[in-house]
Amino acid sequence: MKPKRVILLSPNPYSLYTLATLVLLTRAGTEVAGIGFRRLMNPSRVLFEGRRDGARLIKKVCRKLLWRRLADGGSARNSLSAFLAESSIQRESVPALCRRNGIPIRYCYDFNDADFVAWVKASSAQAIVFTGGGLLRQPLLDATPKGVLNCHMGILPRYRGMDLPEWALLCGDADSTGCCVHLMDSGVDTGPILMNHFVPPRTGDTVSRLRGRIEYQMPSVLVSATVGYLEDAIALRPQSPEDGKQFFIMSPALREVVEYRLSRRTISTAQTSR
Amino acid sequence: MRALAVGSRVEIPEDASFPAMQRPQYKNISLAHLQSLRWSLYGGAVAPNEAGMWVEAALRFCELNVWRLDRRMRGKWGAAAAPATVATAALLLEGHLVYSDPRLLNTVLKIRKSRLFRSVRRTHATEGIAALAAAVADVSDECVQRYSQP
Repeated sequence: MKPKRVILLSPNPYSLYTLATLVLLTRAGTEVAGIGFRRLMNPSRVLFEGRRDGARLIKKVCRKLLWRRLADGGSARNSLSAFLAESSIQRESVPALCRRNGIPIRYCYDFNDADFVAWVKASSAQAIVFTGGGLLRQPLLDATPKGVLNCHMGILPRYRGMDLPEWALLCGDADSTGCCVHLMDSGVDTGPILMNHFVPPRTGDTVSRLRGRIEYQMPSVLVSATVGYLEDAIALRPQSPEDGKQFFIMSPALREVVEYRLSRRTISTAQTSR
Repeated sequence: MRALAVGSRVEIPEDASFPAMQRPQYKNISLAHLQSLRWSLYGGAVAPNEAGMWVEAALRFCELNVWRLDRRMRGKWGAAAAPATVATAALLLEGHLVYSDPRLLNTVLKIRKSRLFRSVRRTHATEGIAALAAAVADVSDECVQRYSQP
């Protein structure tokens, strides 16, 4: 059997999601041929994400990079931090782990830069595993024989785009929350599906707790789908554009409705269990 | 719009016509087309799929870089940006009422926060467009309330 060899793409050197994915891939016997990082101090990235996310960008950066430990503190078994602890993964920066294990790393402003694409091609990896870092263009999508795998926080093909746990709950589709591993193509979450993993809301969940529980599952789901795909054990399920809709960032008013619905769900579940 | 919200039948003008374009693109639409498109949603003057594609095109235009919506609307509409923003919000809200698609309501709620939308009541206070803006605000609030009901 050919050795499983992948390149990992990371949104920043401190990504817990990348760290967890890297360790799990290694434990599953997959060779990580290199990791590409997007530079944090990157004007075009800040501009793009600022235009896309507006004020939410500041909140996102604070939550992910500055006070993640505090934010995760109140929700055990509910976050990537808890996942790392339970999987005996030492919390450190990804480049530090790579240096210790001799994994090549490369920083870039944009994953679509010609230099970076050439580096990926030269690595002779079978596939790219994407853990975040912006839009990917066709040359990078075609840089490896088996394409780019992504774990998407929504059930495909129905829910594409952003804020998908919230949208599924608003659409009354509470059993369609979870994550999905798919191959990336030039569309928004329209590539062939490898694996859907359902994480329905539980009694007492808020939106952020539900998101935390999905995040908790994402590294394992991504790695098991990657390994299965590289071993040709998982068949691809193509999507067509009309199978789903693209959802956008949810407005605060609708977000409040979703929180309210979740709280009502809590009450009704509690009543049923009596 | 309110009639649509409560499911009443609406009489549409006889001269209401649908924009004849091959590919729905918001950037190619005129104010007259926008108005015709709104009527088509009321009366079913065009195939639902076709009208839905136009509403989807308007949705995508508004959602792309939504934080810069004012600038993009001014780029597309020039001096008529404020009325066109209100008419677009009305189109999306009517689309939501017809297709029950919460994404359309979501975009309306975002458009309501734009300066152009908010300025209409001041700059076009005596015109019908100000009344339309008020109706969009009221009906969209009611729609959000409806989502809160069991």
